[in-house]
Amino acid sequence: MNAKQLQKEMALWIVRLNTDNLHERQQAQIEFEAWRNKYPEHHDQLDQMLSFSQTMQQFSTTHGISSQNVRNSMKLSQQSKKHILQMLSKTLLFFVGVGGVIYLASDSTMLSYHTADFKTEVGQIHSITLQDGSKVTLGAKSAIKLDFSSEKRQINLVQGDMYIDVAKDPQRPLIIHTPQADFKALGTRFIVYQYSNSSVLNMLHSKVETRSLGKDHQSKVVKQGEKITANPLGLSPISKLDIASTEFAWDKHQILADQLPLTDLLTNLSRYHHQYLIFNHSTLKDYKVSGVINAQQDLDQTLRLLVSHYPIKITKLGNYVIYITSK
Amino acid sequence: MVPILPTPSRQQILQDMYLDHHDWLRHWLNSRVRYPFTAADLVQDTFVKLLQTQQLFSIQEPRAYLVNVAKHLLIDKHRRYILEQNYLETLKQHADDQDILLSSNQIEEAVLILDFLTVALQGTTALTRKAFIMYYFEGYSQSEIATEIGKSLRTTQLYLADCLQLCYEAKNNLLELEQDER
Repeated sequence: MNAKQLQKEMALWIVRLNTDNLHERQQAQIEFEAWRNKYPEHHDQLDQMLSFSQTMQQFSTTHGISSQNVRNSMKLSQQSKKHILQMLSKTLLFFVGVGGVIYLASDSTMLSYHTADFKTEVGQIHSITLQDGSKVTLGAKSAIKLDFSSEKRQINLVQGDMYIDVAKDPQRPLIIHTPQADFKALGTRFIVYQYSNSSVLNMLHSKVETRSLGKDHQSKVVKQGEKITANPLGLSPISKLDIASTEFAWDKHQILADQLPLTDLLTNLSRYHHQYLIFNHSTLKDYKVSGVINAQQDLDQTLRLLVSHYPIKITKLGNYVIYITSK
Repeated sequence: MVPILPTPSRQQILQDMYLDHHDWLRHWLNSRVRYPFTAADLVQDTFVKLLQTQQLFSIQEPRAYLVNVAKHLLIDKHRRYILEQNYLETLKQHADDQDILLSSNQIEEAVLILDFLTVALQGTTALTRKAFIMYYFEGYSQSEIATEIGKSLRTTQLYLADCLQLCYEAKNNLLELEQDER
């Protein structure tokens, strides 16, 4: 007999010995005598339980506990448990919800950056050779996701800039996908710069078919020594570029700015530096920058240069946060 | 309960659990726990509970384990809090016709009693609980209860015996816990 069974048996003796039915009680007393003689070692525990039973009967007077109290307590304790479990799971859902919204609102590319196949950190440049033999160099804080199959080679430029020397494969054209355009190549060398609102193609060798994903749904073939910008509205006219200086600039981490929106320059600079640049796109995007800027040189120096040429103001908050506002 | 002596490896596990998950657990609870409970208290209690656990070596998912312990603690705390509120409320309502004045110690005991009674009897049927309340808190005789719930005397006795055993067990567990905490 285990402890619980023993307790159950004793509890039943206590109840039976205290019944108001005289005949039942006499019967119980006779049976109990036999049990008592058989298990002398359990007498103490039986006495304890009997006294506990009597104490319980007195709770209403000794502790002012009414039957209504007990009834309410039983109901409340069940509700309480439900409440806590709901509270824990509800807030969980609530937080997932809010967290998700913040994520989307702040930067939808943030998640893609973290789930990308190849990515670089702030100020880091990295070269990789892909499985098809194409050579890719990623600019600072840039990320790509590969989608290669037997029919196609697609690289999603999640953020930042990439230089690519495409390995020839006539059966499988290679497509660089950006939100603004698809750049389709057979075997060539070019650079794609991804900005907040546009992507820019610089052709260094051969040609690439650029298909706009913007409103105009245009397609243009861009040849060696040419460049094009794609934005949500469509494709820009094709313009000329200097191949040697473009390659040199890429190697030296220079930004070759030719009427580059100031906001794009700042975005680009922030990829090379750990300082946090905060600026308003709509007020600064109309300032165009031309010149050669070394992305890796001291940020303060670069910003001072910008302040001397454009009506902007720099406010520093501590060492890491820099506000750039229009004067 | 047998006192558990911290062996070095046991000590090490506890230390690692604390260092690795304390802040995380607190953060997790912070966003979920509301007045009158605080995440800090709950984290503290959770780790105290962990000190007493025997299966320290078999914990596979520390965070899931800690959350589970915290959850049960919170369920217990919240239930006691609600029962106390309810009890005090009825005391207030019956303050005029109360012939005895209860001490704060008695009030504390009363809440504990209500607590272990409800926990002990939460798995029983409604009819069983009805018999229990009539017998122990309303002074009805066993025959009267049998008639009221429409069962035989023998069945009624079995119901009451079940309740007595469950409450007795719960009370003993409570005493053990209290001794542990001292």
